[in-house]
Amino acid sequence: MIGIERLRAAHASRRAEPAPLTWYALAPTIALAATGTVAVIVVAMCLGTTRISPATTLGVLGDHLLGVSAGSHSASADAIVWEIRAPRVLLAALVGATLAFAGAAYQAIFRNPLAEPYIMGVAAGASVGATLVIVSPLAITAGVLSPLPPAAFAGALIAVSLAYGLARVGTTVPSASLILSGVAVSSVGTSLVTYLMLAYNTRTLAILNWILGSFNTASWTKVAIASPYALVAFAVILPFGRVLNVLQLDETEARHLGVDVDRVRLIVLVAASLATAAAVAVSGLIGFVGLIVPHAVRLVWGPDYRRVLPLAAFCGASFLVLMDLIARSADATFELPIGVVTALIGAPCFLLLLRRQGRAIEVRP
Amino acid sequence: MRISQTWWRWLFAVALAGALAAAACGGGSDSSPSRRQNPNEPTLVGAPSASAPNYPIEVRRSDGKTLTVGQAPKRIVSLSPGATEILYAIGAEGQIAAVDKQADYPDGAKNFPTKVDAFEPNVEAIAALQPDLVIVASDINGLVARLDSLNIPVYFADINTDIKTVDDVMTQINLLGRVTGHTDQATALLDTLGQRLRAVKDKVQGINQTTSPKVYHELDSTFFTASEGSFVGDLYRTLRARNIAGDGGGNPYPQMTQEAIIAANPDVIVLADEEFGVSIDSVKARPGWANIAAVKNNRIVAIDPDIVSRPGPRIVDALEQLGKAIYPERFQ
Repeated sequence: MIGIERLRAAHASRRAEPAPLTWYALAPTIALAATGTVAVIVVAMCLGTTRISPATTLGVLGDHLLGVSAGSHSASADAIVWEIRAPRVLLAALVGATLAFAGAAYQAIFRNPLAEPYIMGVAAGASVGATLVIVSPLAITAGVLSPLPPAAFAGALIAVSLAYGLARVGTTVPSASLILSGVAVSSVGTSLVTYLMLAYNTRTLAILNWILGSFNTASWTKVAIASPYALVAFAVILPFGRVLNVLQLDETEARHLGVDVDRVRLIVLVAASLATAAAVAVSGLIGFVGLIVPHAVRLVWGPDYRRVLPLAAFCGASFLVLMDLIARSADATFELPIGVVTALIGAPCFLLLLRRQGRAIEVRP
Repeated sequence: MRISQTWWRWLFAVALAGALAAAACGGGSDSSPSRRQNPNEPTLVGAPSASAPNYPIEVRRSDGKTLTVGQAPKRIVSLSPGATEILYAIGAEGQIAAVDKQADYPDGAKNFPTKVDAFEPNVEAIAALQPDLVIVASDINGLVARLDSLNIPVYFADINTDIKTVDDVMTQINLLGRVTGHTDQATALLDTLGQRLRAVKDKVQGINQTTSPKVYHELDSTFFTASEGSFVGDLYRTLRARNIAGDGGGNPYPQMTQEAIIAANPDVIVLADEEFGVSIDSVKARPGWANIAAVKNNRIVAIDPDIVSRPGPRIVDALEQLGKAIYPERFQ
């Protein structure tokens, strides 16, 4: 591992970067991002089309979380804050964090700035699973026992396994073949969904609605479904920050430096795909976040993966919570599709950031 | 129990276009589309004469052109499930050559040997049936113009612009009666339906629409609903009930947020999505819904989505059923 340090140092000096990143150098930024995210979450819970005062909102939250009854609030306010808004905001945060984090991880292991969480066929696989449930006679409910999330999850995992299996060449898995087989599996899945949409055209809207993604049916159950996968993925991938940095140099070079490239890639891929599959299963396909948020983080804080990974999670969470706030409250009564909001508002923001920073995006540290 | 294809197609288009339009302009659009008279609304050209069919008959179509019917058609291809129901109800079923795949009422239509796809209409397949009249409710992929170019007579009454109210359905029954040569049956049907319609209107007479029961009409489990600007919305207007979706921001089939539904606190919930697995019990079990008046007071009803959304004679059944659900004390 001495080699890695030396190489990193050489690399750092070439780019005139400051001293090696240590945990205490990282801590303030992370703490700030975490605080910001929590603040965004709380503010989002206080806002919505129904006017509920922040005091009442916090009262309801305190009531449920701490068992502290802070004055009386109406049953309707309680239901809206605790059963509707709180799980919706948390689910948006969880999905945003997962997608941005997984996107950063995918970009690292594929060494490709266009990599995003759906590149390995997660989205297409999940769509096939969800679509099959929607067109089947299976009951579709927004309630606890909906077969939709497990079907989407299974579809996503099947697609990723297929893509990974097909990309294998002997004992190694070249990243170019991985991307290509991911694209191929995705297009098979997409055509299946298109076919099902046309064949069952009475359900076209339901399918389209699922594909566009939404947090309108968020519930505590969905939060509970997705969070274990997300937390495990964070825990597994975060320690790989430095290895992912090395991986950016050159695959052969990284191998020489003692990095088991295929093993790292497999671990990161499995963890990120599981988390993405769980996120997609509970929210549908929300594009843009997984691709753009990691790049935005790099633009502001630089390309070091030890920083990019955690910051992408926090920024992804805040971003999607804010976008969903717009989706659910721009109109007094009606829902805007979250995918439309993320693209319409997120894309110009990102371009603005890109122009202001006045530098090209660097994926490699 | 399947929703008419054209209707879902409309929803599908709305989901795409409405999303962008709503995002772009924030919903500044015509407020009461159902009351707006379309200049192209299919009407008889010239004064409607005595009850006997009086060919040739001229009908103005939704695209502004005129259809001339020289004699009673004998090979009708109906691409509209609603029109098919009307044809059966006025005794014109013997003149049908084909119905569309969504036609499932009455049994004769459901089991009709020849069916065509109205969602992706195949002009060649339709022409091969040698129809002397094609009934079109949705001009998909330039269907009307393509049939025109083959000199196939087309009766085109656009379901999205010209059949938006209960009264429009009555107009359709009258027109199809004349066109098919079943004026007497159509008149008799209109008499019966008219009586039932008046009975419904009498029962809701004098109800104050600012205090009447609030209704949430659910189309699917992601809270798509029918606003006042939709065909379904006209039923609630006729019943003088309040639609919690209001004018839908100009969108006939908007998606509500759960928060808005709970805050609106509807007195009655009407489920048009039972066939998709939503049940009265599953609605009651939804987190946060327990305090909605309709849930507390057990005022959730399921309705056959076809009878509320399909512009056919059963629209009056729908009115009676909804009336009973909203005003149980007035509709015994």
